Amino acid sequence: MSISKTWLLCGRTSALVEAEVHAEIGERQLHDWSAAWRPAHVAAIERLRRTTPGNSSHVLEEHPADWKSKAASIEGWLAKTSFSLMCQDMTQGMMIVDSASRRARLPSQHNKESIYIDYIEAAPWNRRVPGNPQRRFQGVGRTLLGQAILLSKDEGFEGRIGLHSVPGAERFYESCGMTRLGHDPKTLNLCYFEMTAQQANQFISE
Amino acid sequence: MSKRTMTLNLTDAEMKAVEDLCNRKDLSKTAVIRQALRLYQTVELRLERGDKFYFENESTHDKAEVMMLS
Repeated sequence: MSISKTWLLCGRTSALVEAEVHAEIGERQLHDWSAAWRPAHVAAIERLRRTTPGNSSHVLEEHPADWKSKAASIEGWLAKTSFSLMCQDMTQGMMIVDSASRRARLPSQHNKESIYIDYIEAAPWNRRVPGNPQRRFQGVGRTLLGQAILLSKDEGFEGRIGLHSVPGAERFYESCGMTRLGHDPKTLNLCYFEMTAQQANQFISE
Repeated sequence: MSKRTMTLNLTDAEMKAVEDLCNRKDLSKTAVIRQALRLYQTVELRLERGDKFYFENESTHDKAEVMMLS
């Protein structure tokens, strides 16, 4: 299992804090998800309901990903790779990607191999949502996207990545330089985003 | 992750197919074979889970099941 060093920005002090990207979602990460993420998610939903009643853009937040099931379902599956981001002895983000089942859709790279991000999630305390004024760490999503790009390059896909975004994250992916291709009726009408090789190089160089 | 090397014995037609895919996909031979293995395993895993394998024509939406004999 490979580990690479990276940095996150501490929300409280604005200092850079050392972090690690692990090429796995293992027992440690699933324990953190169960013992820390889930209770924090419940608390965040309750805060959201109090502060922004009827906010439909967060409706999918009410149904958090079951990472234990997802990790179990991809065991031994060559096309699936998982990543976790660890900082200060806690799992701060997780991601599962697919390297074989999807092709790029943008006309300039139509049908070319691409890394597709099946699932990507920052720990509840790291998300920019109403009722969570100070994120514990910033940069979790960008770091994981960067890993997907690096994997894409390693595989010979030149950095191409794609994903379907939950409604609350669309602006984030746009801010990362991804191209919005519109809502996809075949995937819960979620908005599909894609990154070209050039966009990927731009993202990594920033 | 450690990697291991193996020798593949392919016919001329199979080798040509690999080379054609490399050119079309702009991938190395290793990348093409790895993708083929991933797709093969993906199909097998999903069939084992009870999924069916279809091709769908994007224009006509006609579906044709890929019959995998067990």
